Amino acid sequence: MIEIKDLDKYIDAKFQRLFLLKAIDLKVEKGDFLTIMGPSGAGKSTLLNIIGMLDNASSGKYLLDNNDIYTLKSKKQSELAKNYFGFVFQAYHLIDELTVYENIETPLLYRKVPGKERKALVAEMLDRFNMVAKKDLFPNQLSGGQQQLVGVARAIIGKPKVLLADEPTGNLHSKQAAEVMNIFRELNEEGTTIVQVTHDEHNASYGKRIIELADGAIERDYLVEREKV
Amino acid sequence: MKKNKMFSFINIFGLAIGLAFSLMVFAWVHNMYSVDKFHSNIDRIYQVMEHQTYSDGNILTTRATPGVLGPEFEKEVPEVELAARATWDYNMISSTDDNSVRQVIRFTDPNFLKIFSFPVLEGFPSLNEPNEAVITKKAALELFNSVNVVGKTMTLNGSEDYKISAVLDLDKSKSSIDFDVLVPFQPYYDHNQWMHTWGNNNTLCYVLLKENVDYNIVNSKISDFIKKRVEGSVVDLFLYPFKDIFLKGSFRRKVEKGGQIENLKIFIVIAVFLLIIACINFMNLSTAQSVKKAKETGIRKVIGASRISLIRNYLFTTLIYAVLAVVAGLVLVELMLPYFNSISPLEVEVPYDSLIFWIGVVSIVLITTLMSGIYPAIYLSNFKAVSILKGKIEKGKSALRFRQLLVVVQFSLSIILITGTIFTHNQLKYMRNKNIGMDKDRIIFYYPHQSLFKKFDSWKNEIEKLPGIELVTRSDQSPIRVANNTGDPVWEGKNPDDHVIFDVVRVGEDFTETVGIKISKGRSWDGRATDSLGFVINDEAAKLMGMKNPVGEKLSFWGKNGTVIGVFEGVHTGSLRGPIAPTILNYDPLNTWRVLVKFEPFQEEAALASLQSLHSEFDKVGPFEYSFMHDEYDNLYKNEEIVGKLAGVFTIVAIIISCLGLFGLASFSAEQRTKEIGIRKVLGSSVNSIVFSFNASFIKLLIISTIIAVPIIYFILDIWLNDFTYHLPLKASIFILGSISAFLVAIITVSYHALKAAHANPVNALKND
Repeated sequence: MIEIKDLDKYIDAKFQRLFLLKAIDLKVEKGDFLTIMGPSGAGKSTLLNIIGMLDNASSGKYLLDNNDIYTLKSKKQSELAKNYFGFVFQAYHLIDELTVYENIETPLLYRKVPGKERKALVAEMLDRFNMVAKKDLFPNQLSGGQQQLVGVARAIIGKPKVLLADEPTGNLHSKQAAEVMNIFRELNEEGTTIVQVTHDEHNASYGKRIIELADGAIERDYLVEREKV
Repeated sequence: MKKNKMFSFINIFGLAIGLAFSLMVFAWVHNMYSVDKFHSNIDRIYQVMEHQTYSDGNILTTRATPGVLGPEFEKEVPEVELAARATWDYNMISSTDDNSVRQVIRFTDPNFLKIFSFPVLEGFPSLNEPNEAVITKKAALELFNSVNVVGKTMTLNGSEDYKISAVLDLDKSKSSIDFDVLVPFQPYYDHNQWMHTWGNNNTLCYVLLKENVDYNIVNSKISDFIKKRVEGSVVDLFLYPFKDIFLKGSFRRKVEKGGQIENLKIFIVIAVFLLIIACINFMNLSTAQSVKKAKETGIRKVIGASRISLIRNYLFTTLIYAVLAVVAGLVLVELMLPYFNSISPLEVEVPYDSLIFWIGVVSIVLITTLMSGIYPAIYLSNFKAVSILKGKIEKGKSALRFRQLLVVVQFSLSIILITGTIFTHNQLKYMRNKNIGMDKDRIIFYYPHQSLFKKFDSWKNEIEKLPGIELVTRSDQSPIRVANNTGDPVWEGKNPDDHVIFDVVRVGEDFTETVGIKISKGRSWDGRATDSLGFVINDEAAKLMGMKNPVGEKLSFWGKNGTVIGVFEGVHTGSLRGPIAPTILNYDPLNTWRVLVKFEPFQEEAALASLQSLHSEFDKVGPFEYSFMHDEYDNLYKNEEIVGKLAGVFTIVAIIISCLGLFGLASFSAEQRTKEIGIRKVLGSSVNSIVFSFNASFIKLLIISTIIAVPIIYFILDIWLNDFTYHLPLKASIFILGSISAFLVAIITVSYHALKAAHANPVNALKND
């Protein structure tokens, strides 16, 4: 599904070229649950953003279901991004001015989903995450865990093929974190491809495969041993 | 830090522009109010004026009084200490042996110099000698190229010699009485018998009342002063304070109306608008910034700052900004005044030496500081320290409301100004282009020496053969500014108790043909022997006299028993402000002193060359002078033009200031919404939809502004149009145009930031937490 070949990401500073990512080769198959790990500054988030097409690589190739992304026009790119990816952030990034309901609904508005269908989809999400009672509250009236559930609901309501999560549990305590991770696993079992960035080995254990980044390069790439869970 | 610099710049610059223009207006107002105030007796000087009430309901108010009035007044009214007569300002040729210029001459009584206090530079003015002349410094320089001219001789209109007794220092921009040279009134009066009757109003009369006299009491006594002397007179006499004459001395139906004060009011209102708009910017940007300052304020509070000290601190910062803005404003004024003065005839200068001016400036600073500082100060100091530090203050809904309210006020004012400017501009254009029933675009007014009139017929014959010239005629006054009226005409069936007035123009041969007046009934003069007894009148005059079939009706006045031979319609012999006056054209070639020349289409150059070729034959001294009728016509609306031009400038300034504010707010709002916009982009929003949603919040405010502004400007324009008998209708399109202009300007301003925000990489927006 995702195929990255010899991808670099660098910043040109005054006297030197600073590499954030170097010679990345990565394949993610449909239905995979990949965890990107590594120390701070290793380039985890950069890689995730590049996969999610929020950011472009400096050089290299990115194939998304055989679409050579960097040869496409930006309109086509954003069209693909819209349909392929959903995002979950560490800081939730909900829109403060909108209610829970409206936050979840927003991606559908940008996908021009008709009103009735939108209602049904949002209701389904609220139901699934047990948030029906909270649908008219604003984000700052919710706990962190609840906010992240809204974030996840928002990320998956557009039925993305790939869910990208950047430290999704970083701001949560362990019980809330477990709840989010269980949802991820459920989603993966339903067929959603997931790529997550995390420091936490326990969280990584929910996935199927781990790559470890160091200084912008992939150091290890291995499957999770199931029995450890 | 960079952002803060931009905010500070917009804050100070916006306020500086607003202040600069208000300062200019206030300097101008100050100048206008100082006109005539240099006379040391100013509080005791009065102009004698007349209300003339006619039986058709017409009321005229005039400064013209009988030439016999002055001395009689001094004799009969005990409260009057001195009275002085003066003529209107006559344009004459002043000459010396080797120089001649056109100057403004007035014939005045010796008392004129005692009542008024024009500063004397040289000599001892008296005006007691019949051939004495008093000259102003500027006129002396113009004529003699020197100020030491006492004792020298000058000639007026190439005939009378005068000996200069004194030089006065007259600042024309400070005096409502305009003159270059004063000469004695008495010889002129003795020479003109028509000035000696009580029924003829032609002379200005000024009086100096004794100390501590209430002029209202004098007015009650002198009201019937002329009625007592002339049976059936329509005149009520009254004294009008001279100190008010420049600003307020115009009347309509016995009530003060028009005059410079109305312009002043318009511009004071505009200046206040500007100041409000500028202060609103200041408040808006300050409250917007207060969110950034919130943390600082919170920390100060935690350390133990009291609320008062915070308010004081904030007001002090505001005061410094305001002072900086005033300084910048004054610099701007100095830079802009030359332009301001070039488009208006008023020589405005900033009265740096006037205490009142500085009091005004200081009050503007203080008011601005309070207006723009007090809200943010209280708003900021009212924050709860804990909530600030927790970062909750960003929700500040009430501050947002307040900012929105301010933007609405600002844009309402802008829409009012834009719409008003567009409409006044259109009205001016309409008045200038309206068909006034005369060929105003093809007529030259030619000002030859009087001797030409002695040989007018042969000159006419000769000049009409020359290239470019179609027809020439003569009259006693300009047909677009008829100023001579009379109640003398008598016709069959006139009620002897009726007092009505008619405009009268004395004309020569080919008059109607030359100026292009179409005769609708009867005929014009055509060279018959009986021509001199024929009158041509307009429809309004016929109606006023109650004539159904005017042609052939008897009409007599000024010793002429004649008949009406023709009627014309739809000819505007004055400004379109007023209705067409009942007018009589009186064929009387020998009493005319104006030449009107019609040139062949597009041949004005040739016509002027032809006129000039014969000029020196009749006029050895005078320069070749002429003007175009359409220019003179445009001059009727000089006032509207100046007001229109200045209002245009002020409107642009108001828009610039409003946009500066909006620009600042949009940039603030973009900054506030960086995160939200980033999220929306990640969720798949397009650039367009972000720009739209960004504009939407401002457009909502603009729509509210329009709803508020349109009725207000409609109301204002409706009142303004009351002054115009002929005007454009108040069509919806004007209001739509005005509002849309404001919309466009606002959207362009806001979109700049919206586009910038929408194109930013969302990764950056979402990174820092």
